[in-house]
Parts: sequence; structure tokens; C-alpha cells
Amino acid sequence: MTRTIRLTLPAALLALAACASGGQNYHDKNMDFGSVRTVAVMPIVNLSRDNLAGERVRDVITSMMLASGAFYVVPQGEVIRVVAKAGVLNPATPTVEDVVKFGTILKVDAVITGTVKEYGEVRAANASGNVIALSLTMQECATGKIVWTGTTTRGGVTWRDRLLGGGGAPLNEVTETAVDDLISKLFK
Amino acid sequence: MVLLPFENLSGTPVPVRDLLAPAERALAARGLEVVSGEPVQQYLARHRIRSTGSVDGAGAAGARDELGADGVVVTSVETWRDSPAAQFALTMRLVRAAEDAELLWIDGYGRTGDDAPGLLALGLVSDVKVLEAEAFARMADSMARHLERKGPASPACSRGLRFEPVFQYRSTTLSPQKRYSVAVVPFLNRTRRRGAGELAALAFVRQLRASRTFTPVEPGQVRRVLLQQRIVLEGGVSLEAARLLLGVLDADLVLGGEVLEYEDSGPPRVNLTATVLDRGSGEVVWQSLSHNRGDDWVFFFDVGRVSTALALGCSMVGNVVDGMSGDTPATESAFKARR
Repeated sequence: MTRTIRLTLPAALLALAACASGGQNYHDKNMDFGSVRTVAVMPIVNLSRDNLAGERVRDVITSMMLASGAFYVVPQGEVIRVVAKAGVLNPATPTVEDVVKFGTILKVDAVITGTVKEYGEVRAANASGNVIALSLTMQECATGKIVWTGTTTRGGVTWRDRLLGGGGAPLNEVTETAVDDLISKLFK
Repeated sequence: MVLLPFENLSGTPVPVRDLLAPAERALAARGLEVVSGEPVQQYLARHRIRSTGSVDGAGAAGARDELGADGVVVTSVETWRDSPAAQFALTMRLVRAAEDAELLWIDGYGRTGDDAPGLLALGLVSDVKVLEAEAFARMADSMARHLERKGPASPACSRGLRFEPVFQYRSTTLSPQKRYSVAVVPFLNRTRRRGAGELAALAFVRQLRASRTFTPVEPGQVRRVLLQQRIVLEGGVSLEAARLLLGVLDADLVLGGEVLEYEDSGPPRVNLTATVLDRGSGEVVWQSLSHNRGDDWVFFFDVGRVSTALALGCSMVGNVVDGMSGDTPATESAFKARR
């Protein structure tokens, strides 16, 4: 009996860990995050099949950060204008020099960049659900250093979807949950 | 008043010329003297006006001087479909025929033929002309009531908790006691539907006119400044563009945003972000994100279903404007409440 438990328990824990929607997180220990008051959200790299995934996710990030009351987020039109003015060739993946120059012109403390890796419907046998895999990075504008990065995966096909069907949570809700998860990680 | 040819924002072909006659009849039946047809065409040609979806100060003053009008009626058709089920939606507004082109009245109508099928589907409307007649009768009634000082400048549409923004940020610098003039710029259109950006802007103009805190600038005036000053709103409103625009218009706030969904087919879906920039501080004073479907929180027998994107957008934008004016305290976002 004890031997059975010894064999099955790790397997069960491994299976549960595989189902969890966690993600990696990095904080620069020397960074004072309280000093970051104004941020700019750069265009998001979109690796998914949905052409609008980047814009959808960026809108949620901007609105949620402003709604949190912890940051002032510079309007998108201003970001686009300064990107052109600063001559940033690839605003979605800026270089250290780009970030420093951008921060000086726009007077922001940090920039947020990100990548949408998955966005849309996934299927498993007869069940389907919406999934998003997202990573965000914060770069301090004084030095251009990466001070925080976080990844998350939310949604997908759950046991409930397999048993009851229904197609899972709407994509908008999954996106909001994922961004909320990442912002919570940033504040930790 | 001058009845301008209708603007088609439906993204599909609409017989806009055929719609003028029933609109003129409905307005005339309420005792309003309407100028339309050839004199209006000549006036448009003289002033080289091609866009009839808005009117600027020079155009409005021209209508007064040349056609003897007191007001200009501007109409935007949002949806027109005669099969398989009739559907019709429009927004109509009245602009003062003067240099200031003040927005006097604005209202909208949106309905599908299967809104109320009733017993044995006897209430189904398959002929779009029935909806057209109903729409123009309602618009003419609403306008006439306002001109007789018996009705509001913009009748409010239903709100409902389900249509509140998912996230909202309101700066404390936005005072509920002060009255602000707002320039609404066309929203960035990320949808496949042509004209969705203009429709979202129009929904905001309508709700701002209904508000006690905000006075919207006529979109024609905003359009004139954007063209004259060569302002291109690439990726959204920049602070520089906002300052230039508001300086020329002498307005306090500029409202813009992004439309990600504006669908009428199936259950209507609207997904939009609104951002308000303040001329004084040069900062964002409002940002919200809203997305809804017409069948949100509808469980039994289609009770509470919203059938057109116009009506859905009206409810959603109404809640946004309430939040902007501070009428609804932003205690908790709908996202947190849902979780």
C-alpha cells in the first residue's frame, strides 16, 4: 500500500503541475519599483495567428495599468509620435540605447514591451477553449536595463470543457485574466 | 432646415437617395420646413462639399445665407438590410446654421425585423421600408419635441450594469462641477468594417450631448481643423495633435480611441477603448475599455437582448460618459466584480 502511494503521489503531483497555468517571473533586486511612476507601453510582438492580438493585449495592459492607479501610462498616439521622432527602428524590441533615448524624450521612467505567443482557440479531442500565452518586460529608461519580466499562460481546455463542452471562457476574459496575473506578479 | 444627403457608414451599399423622400415627409409632417433636392445639390457644389456626414462653420453659415435655413440636418446610416431579416439603424443630428455650427440635437434609431416576433411570428418585419418609416417618424418627433422645448437635446439610451466598462481610469483633475467642451476625433478602426471609427465617435458625440458635464464640438468643425492643420492621428491622439486641435477649436478635452469590434451580424459585438486628453495638463484624464455582446446576461426567451450594434454601443458609451462625468463612482471595476 505504502509503495503504491509512493509511486502514484509524485505522478499525480507531476500531472497537476502540468495542468497549472503558472509562468516565470524575474525582479531586479536592486530596483526601486516605487520610483516608476510613468510608463510607456510599446507595440506588442505578435506571434499568434490573430493579426489584432497585439493591439488587443496592449489596450488591456494600458487600461489595466492606469486603472490600478499605480502608474501613469502615456497615450498611444504620443508613443507612436516619439518612436518616429527618436528614430526607433523596431519599437516592439528596442535596444538599450533606444530605451534611454525614448525615455529622455517622452519623460517616462520605464517602458513595457511584450510578446503574444498564443492567442486564440485551441482544440483537444472534441473540446475547445481560448488560450493566451503572454510575456511582458519592463526596461528602466535611466539605464535601459531589464528590471522585471514575467510570463503567463491562461485559458485552454479544462476538464469542465471536456465534460460539459461550451468552448471555454471568452477570449477577452482570458486576456484580462492573463494581464491581471502579470500585473500582480509585477507588484509582488 | 436643410436636409443633407445621407452619409453611408454601413460598409454595404445603401439606397441613400431613396431615403431622402420619406425623411423629408416625416419632418414636414411635424411642421418643419425642409429644403432638399436640387437647391441643396447646388449649394453643395458651390461650396465643394463632398462629405455630407458633417458640417463645419463655413458650410453651416452658407446654408443660412444662401438657403435661408436655421439648421442643417446631418444623417448617418449605420445599417440597412432588407433580407433575410430587415434591419435599419441611423443617427440624425441638427446643427445650427451659423459660424459656430453648434450641435443642437442628436438622436439615433436601431431595430431589426425580428426584435419582437410575438405569437406565431406575427410581429416579424420583413420589409425594411416599415423600419424606415418608423425610424424617420421617431427622429422627426424627437427633433420637433426638442425644438418646442418639450424634449431633451439627446434622449438618453438605456444603461444597465452589464454594459459598464471593464476597466476605467478617471483622473481626479476631471471636475464633476465644471462644464467641458469636448472635441471627439474619429476612432482608430481596427475592424474589417468600414466606418466603424466614425460610428464610435458619433456614439460618443450623442452621449456627450446628453450629459450635463460635457458639450461636444460638432464633428464637422473637428474634421475641418484636422484637414486644415494637416493633423494625422497615426496610432492615436498625440499630445502635440491634441494641443493644436484644442487650441484652434478652443475646447478643453479631446476624446479618441480604438475600435476593435463593431459587428451587427449575429449577436452584435462592440469592443472599444476610449481615451480623453486634457488640454490644460496635457495628461490622460480618462481611459476605459469596454466590450460587450448583445446577448450578455440573456438567459431566457431573449429577454434583455440588444439587437443592433447602435443600441449596444449607445448603452456602453452611455456608461462610459456617466463614468467620465463622475455620475457613477468608480469603486470597483467590472473585471474585479466579475471575478
